[in-house]
Amino acid sequence: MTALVFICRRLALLLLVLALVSILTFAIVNVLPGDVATAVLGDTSTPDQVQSVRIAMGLDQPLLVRYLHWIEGVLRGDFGASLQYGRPIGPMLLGRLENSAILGLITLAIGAPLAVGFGLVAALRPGGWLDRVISGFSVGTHALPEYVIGLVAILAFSIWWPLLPGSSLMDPSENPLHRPEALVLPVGVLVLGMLAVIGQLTRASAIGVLASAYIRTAVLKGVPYWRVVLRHALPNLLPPAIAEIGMYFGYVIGGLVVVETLFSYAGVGQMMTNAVAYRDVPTIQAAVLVVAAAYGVGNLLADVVALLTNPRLRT
Amino acid sequence: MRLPIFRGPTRRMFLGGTGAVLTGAATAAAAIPDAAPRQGGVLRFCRPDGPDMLDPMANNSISASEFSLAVYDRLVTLDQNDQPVPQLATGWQAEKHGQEWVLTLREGVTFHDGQEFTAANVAATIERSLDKSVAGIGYQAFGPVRSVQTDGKHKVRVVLHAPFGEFPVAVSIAVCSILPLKGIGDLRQTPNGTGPYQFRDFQPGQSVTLERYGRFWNPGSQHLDGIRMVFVHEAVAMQAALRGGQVDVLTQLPTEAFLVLSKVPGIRAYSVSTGNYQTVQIMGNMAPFDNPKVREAFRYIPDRPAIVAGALFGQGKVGNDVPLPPGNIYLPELPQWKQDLPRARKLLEDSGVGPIELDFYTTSDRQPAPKLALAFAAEAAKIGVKLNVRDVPFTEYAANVARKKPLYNANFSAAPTLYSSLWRCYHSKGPYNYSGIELKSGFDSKIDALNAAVDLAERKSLAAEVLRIIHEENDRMIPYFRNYFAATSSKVGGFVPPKFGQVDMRGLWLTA
Repeated sequence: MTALVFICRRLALLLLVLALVSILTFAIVNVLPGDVATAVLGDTSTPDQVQSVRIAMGLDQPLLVRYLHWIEGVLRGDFGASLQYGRPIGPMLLGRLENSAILGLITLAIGAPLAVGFGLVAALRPGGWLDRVISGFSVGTHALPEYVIGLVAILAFSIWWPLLPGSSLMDPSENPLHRPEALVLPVGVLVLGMLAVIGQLTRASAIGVLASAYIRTAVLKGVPYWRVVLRHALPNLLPPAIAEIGMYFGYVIGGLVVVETLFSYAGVGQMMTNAVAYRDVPTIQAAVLVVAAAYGVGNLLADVVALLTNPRLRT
Repeated sequence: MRLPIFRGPTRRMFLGGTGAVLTGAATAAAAIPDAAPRQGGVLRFCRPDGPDMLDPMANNSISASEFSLAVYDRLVTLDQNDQPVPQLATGWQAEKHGQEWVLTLREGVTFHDGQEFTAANVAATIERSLDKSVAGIGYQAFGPVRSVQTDGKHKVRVVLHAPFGEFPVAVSIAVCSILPLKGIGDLRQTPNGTGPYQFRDFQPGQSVTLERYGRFWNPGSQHLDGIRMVFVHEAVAMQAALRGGQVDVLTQLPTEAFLVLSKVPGIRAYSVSTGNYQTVQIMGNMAPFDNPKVREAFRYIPDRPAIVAGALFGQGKVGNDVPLPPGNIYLPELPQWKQDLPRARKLLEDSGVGPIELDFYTTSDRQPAPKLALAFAAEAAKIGVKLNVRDVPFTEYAANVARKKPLYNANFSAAPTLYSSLWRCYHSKGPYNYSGIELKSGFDSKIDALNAAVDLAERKSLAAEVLRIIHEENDRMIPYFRNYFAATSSKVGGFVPPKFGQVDMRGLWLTA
């Protein structure tokens, strides 16, 4: 019952956060210089041309009226139409969301266990050569921006050693899962980013847990060390890693702006980049709302998993 | 007076193109002759950005123009010598000294949704171009049109405010695509033309899918089963896509990518001189450039050959502050502006404006403009002129810089007409005359006369006069003309580097 109340509270909080995010996004985008009319017409248009297009797009309406009109549509399940393309945003966003989810979930499925495993292995002998190699590699990849890692990956595996496609171009109707080779480089770049953060978090947590009295007792009682690590230590070092993985959930669903743009992957991040460039406010609003929801859901899932794995949290 | 009717490619119009000279070598293509066109296959056409929108009149991107050229037809197209040849118009005739134009239209043409192509479509298209709320960048693209009258199903009369000798050339550009009467307000979502390829799908920022239109009126120029335009933002990823066989054509490459690809076996890389240029806008309606001496001083500041070598890696030509590239038939003999810093310093002293410190705005979205700005600022510093280079995102640039700041970079594509190159850019009423000043008393009437002239000798003489004034007085410096870059795999046939920046894919085929 306590867990159910907790989840309901978190859901209510999530709705509040989403409402605030939509207001903030709307305000920020409208503070930025230029709008979709100037972006589409460019620098060659005359001021009265820009004004005519602005009126035709409804951009002459007061901000509050435009926001209320938009939020009214959202409450009816209608994200409105893109100012730039004149097309309904919902179906465009849905297709992109599916693609981002595929990329993100594969990244999580590979990256999360790998990162936890690396962190754990590094913690077994702190300061040992394996720890130094893993930690050095993690810190190194974390220090490099995804953009740089991505470029190096394209150069290495698509140009110098042409094994993999350098872009994730696909037919519009094609499911990314049917083109696994096109996913290898973007997933690889994202996994490298995860290894650093979650791996180091796990390592720090594992060093503390492995030094605790109950672990020492188990070892002295003759329990095999691998069993001590997996059965006794692992459940206690997972909560911080799970919380971090929950945050990554939101990131891999909608925050892959750099990787999706670099690899021409048709996801939400790439859609947002274009929408921001053209100040397509309704599209930005819809995409940001979905990404914020993904972060919220990811956090919630992490909390639920923590509840399930840690009995003390359920009391 | 009635002027002769011009039909077909063998009978040339009296006008020469203004925009481009294809003197640069197509580096690899010359060595690999194309075989005869082959039918079939889907061309994968890759460029750095997608269409800003699919409405062929309102869009403002080269990407969208390339889409328009494949899906829509124009009244005329241009041959290799920039002369108009029939497309949807089979003949055209000037009346009243070029103030009215009568066009005979092709019969038996249908739009992709089955609508018949008639004079009503042409009238609706031209009338739409007069409505600034929907025409966007295509506003007044057909020239100074007063009205359009249809005469039966296949004849149309265009009445102009003033004689316009270049009318047939002016209507050859992508924004003058002929639109369907039914659904004309809905083209952003449902593109519908008479061209060889019909719209199938658009994934914004990702791809556009086109397929062969079975009832195209000229099947001989339609070689492919379909076209897939894909958009890869990063130059390295573009190169990888071509080298890995994921795409067949790369267009609008950065200079650096061209230089790399030109050395790769099996890839044809193209670097071609064009009339595309970037400017240093020294706005004549704002201080300190409202002082002619300051404008003249600034013309002596840049080291133009060094900028071509540094910013363009030598892939371009030195500009001379007139919008026509070297080799253009209208270009008179003009002294070349050269760097002369002592003279620039003296002119600034004589101008009486005192020390100059200005923000120089540029945008990285228009490469290599920031390099031009930095090189210019470095030279200006040598005579005590402090220019602070400000690189701003394009949206901010379009909203707050263009026409509003005294010093900035701008970007211009080559155009096939003097109307676009000169009237629209330098006439005080021209939409692209950003400062709105008349360069010299009587200049506007000279450029109006040029616009109306129909005789080639008269046009050359008037153009020379106009260009001399622009060369001396303008508030738009043109330090260079940029080359166009592209690369194709060896299986692409019929690729001709475009003169005006936009690839017309209807002539392309795949050899395998």
